[in-house]
Amino acid sequence: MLQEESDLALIIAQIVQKLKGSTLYAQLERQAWASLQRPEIKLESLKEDIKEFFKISGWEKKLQNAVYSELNVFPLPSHPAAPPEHLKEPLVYMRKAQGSWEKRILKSLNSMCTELSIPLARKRPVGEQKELLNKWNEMGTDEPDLSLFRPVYAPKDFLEVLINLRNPNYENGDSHSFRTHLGLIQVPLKVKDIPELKEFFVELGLTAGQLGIDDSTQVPPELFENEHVRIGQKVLSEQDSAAAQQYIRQGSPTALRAELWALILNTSSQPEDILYYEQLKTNVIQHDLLVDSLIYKDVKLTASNDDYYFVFEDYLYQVLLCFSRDTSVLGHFAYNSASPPKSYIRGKLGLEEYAVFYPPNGVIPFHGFSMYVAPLCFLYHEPSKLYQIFREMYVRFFFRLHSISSHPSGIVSLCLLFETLLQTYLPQLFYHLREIGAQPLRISFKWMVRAFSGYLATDQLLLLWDRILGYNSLEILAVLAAAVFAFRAVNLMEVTSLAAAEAVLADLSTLKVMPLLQIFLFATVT
Amino acid sequence: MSRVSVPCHVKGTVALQVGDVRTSQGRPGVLVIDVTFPSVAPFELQEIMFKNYYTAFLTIRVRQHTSTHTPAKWVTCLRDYCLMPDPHSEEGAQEYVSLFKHQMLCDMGKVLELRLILRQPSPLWLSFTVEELQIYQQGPKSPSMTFPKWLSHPVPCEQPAPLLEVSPHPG
Repeated sequence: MLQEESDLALIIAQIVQKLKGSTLYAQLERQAWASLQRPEIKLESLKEDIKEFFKISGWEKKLQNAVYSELNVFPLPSHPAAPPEHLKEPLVYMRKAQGSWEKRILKSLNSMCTELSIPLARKRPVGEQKELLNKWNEMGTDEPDLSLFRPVYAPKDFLEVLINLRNPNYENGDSHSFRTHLGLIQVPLKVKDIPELKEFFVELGLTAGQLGIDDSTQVPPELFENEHVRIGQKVLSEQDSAAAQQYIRQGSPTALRAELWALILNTSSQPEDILYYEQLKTNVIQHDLLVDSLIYKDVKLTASNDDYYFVFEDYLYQVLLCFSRDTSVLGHFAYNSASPPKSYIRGKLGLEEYAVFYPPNGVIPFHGFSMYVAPLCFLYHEPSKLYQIFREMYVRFFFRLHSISSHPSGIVSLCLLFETLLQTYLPQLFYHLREIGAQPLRISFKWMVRAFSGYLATDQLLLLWDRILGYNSLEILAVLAAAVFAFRAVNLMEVTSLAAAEAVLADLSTLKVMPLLQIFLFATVT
Repeated sequence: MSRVSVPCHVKGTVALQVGDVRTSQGRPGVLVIDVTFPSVAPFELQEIMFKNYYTAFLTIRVRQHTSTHTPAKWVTCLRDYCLMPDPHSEEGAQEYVSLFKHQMLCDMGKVLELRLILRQPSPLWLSFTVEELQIYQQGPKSPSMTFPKWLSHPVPCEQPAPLLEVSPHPG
């Protein structure tokens, strides 16, 4: 009991310290000072009266939302003796693997830089700045020569790294024994099995209503949909983050989705935030980075070719170019196993005072990165709002999909969860695919790395991302991947090669996400 | 409360195994680590801190100084403390752990020697141990400071005399 109390005190102290530096703290202070003018605030009971005032005026709710957001995003304070690397990633061999992967990416970037003799960053001449400012809303019409650029890495390169991940203390015999895993991932991380998943995703059960199932045309809206929308409106009027997160587990009505996501991610629309975005825009105009060309190339290769997202091409540039320059993103590296690439001012190699992070936000985009932003364009039309939501989604969820870590929502755990679910509940299918040389992970990896963006129809994708926000976990991606295989199992049993298996699973755009998940989790006879 | 590190001597780990260690195929699942305190008098143990390396269960036995002339006996002060909830998976495998005196089964007043018994029943791991072992005893209590009375009992400010209500002149 003593230990729990001191743990709680430590968590409270950590959150208070984090919030002290935020704008919310300054706002609360100002409100408290202003409230002294009010007649109901008496000097004898100053503390209680101000607390009461905060409760009535809704400021306490804002504080609650901020605390809830901190609890969700930041890991619990660890042991005082643990060094900061331990907080990023507790397992030493994974830290090493992430470090060598980062070295490879940097080498690739640097070699592209020297090959094309383009500087990593340069200041734009004034004429070019003016031109870019005029063209800001239609950067898609620009057709720079990007033929020499190539993406720094693609998801399949990353998959190879994960396949070769080994724990040096683990019995990795050459001969197959009970120790070697049948799938591609060979590290023994703890993943949930179906009974645990059933408990975790209890709101997706057969007895609870779901948007994505119970709002179809055959079901009368009085049964579930009307009531659900009414509750959603109430949650929004109360402005309660925790309630919104619980509510969205059953799906979000399309009309309320934009506001609900903003509430759950605790983003605000203060003038300061719009000003911050404008500042980032100015940075884009003044300086040109090499990663900008990588972003252009990625958007042109992926989002512009997609039937649903090509209309948002200009928005994507506006968000991603600003994202590369946002140094506040560096904060998430405290709990990300990755580290931002460091480079040194010319001639000052090794001197810490001359070290800069490149790109300024520490994130090097890979092939398909722009697909994280594309679905959000359906919800938010104002660039600064769209930018904030994307940034929050990235530092909460998406970064885990391309860094090597032992976190339960990290891509390694998701891959292992997918393979374990498939082996346990569809052993014949798994065995057959393995025999024909079509390891299932080779097909589903690209779905999970992109969080299914670009593979599912947009409305289905947004229903899936509702659940990611609601459960604050990416495990649902692995469950959906296994459910897709279960759905197409009959066709897959008849294929005889990897290419044929890929063809069976090439088009997911007709799939309905929620029925698949419900059947796989709650209605499959084991 | 403050704590002071106690210099300790950690003897090499001894594997407990049936049969010949060299020739048998399996790996030992039990290791014993002896910790002595050669230069320190019997002390009160406050905290044991270490970094785990794939140990699943920890048992600690302690030998305490007795005032009578009977030889000191080994007493179990922590039994089968679970460090890894699932011995076959990586959860908890490389975590930093602190064990406090209130978690112990017996009084830790006059510690002479400690014996850590590590168990790892899973055959998946090549080796297991605990690293960076540190023992702490209670530090000297910080000298109590007496605050001047005016700092700890501020005088309540005087209430200003209520102003007479003056209504603004119309017009």
